[in-house]
Amino acid sequence: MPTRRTQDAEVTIDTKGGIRLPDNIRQQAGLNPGDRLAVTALTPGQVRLTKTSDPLAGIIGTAPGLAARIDTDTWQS
Amino acid sequence: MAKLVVLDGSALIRLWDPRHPRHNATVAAISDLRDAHTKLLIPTTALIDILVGAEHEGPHRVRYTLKQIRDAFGTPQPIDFKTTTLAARYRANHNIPTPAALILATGHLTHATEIITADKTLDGTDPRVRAID
Repeated sequence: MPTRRTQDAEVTIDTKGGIRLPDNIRQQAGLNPGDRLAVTALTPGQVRLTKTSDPLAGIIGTAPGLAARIDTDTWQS
Repeated sequence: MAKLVVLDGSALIRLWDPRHPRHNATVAAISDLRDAHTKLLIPTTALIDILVGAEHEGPHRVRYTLKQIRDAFGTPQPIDFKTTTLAARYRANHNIPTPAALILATGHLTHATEIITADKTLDGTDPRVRAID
C-alpha cells in the first residue's frame, strides 16, 4: 500500500545545517515545540524525520505536592 | 486526520503532581488516548491552578512552568468573546462552574475530538467529554 502523502514543502538548509519545518507540515505531522526528532539518512538526497519524544515527558511528575498546594477554584458561589 | 485533545486543569494537576493518588492512572489514561498525530491543547484558563502552584514557589518556578507549558502544548488557546458566550450557554444548560464551561466551549470551537477532565460531574455535558478516573 503506498504511503499517503498529504502535503509537501520545500525547505533550504542553512549554513549551519539547520532547516525550518513549515507550520502546515508540523501541524499535519503532529509536531509541537519541544519535540525531538530522530534523523535518518536513507539514500543520497533522502532523509527521514521521526518524532521520538513525548511532549508530556517534560511535565509529567515534575511538581510533587502541587495538588496539595492549591485550592482549585470553581468560580462558582 | 490529526486528533485534537483538550485537557482541563484537573487533568493537568494530576499529570504534574506525582504525589496525586491518581497520577499514574491519569498518565496511563492520557497516554492511551494519544498517538503520534494527536495535538494536545489547553485553554489559558486551565493554566491558572498550575500557575498558582508555581507562584507559591517564586518567579523562577513560574518562568520554568511557563516554559514547560509552551514546550508541551504550544501556545495555550485564548478565551475570546465567542468562547465566553458559548461557555455561558454551557453553564446555563448544565449548571456547571465557569472554568468547566470555558473548557467545553474551547473544545467545541476548536473542533476537538476529546475533552479530558478528571471532573466526573462533566460526564454528559458534551459528547466530547471523557472523564478519567
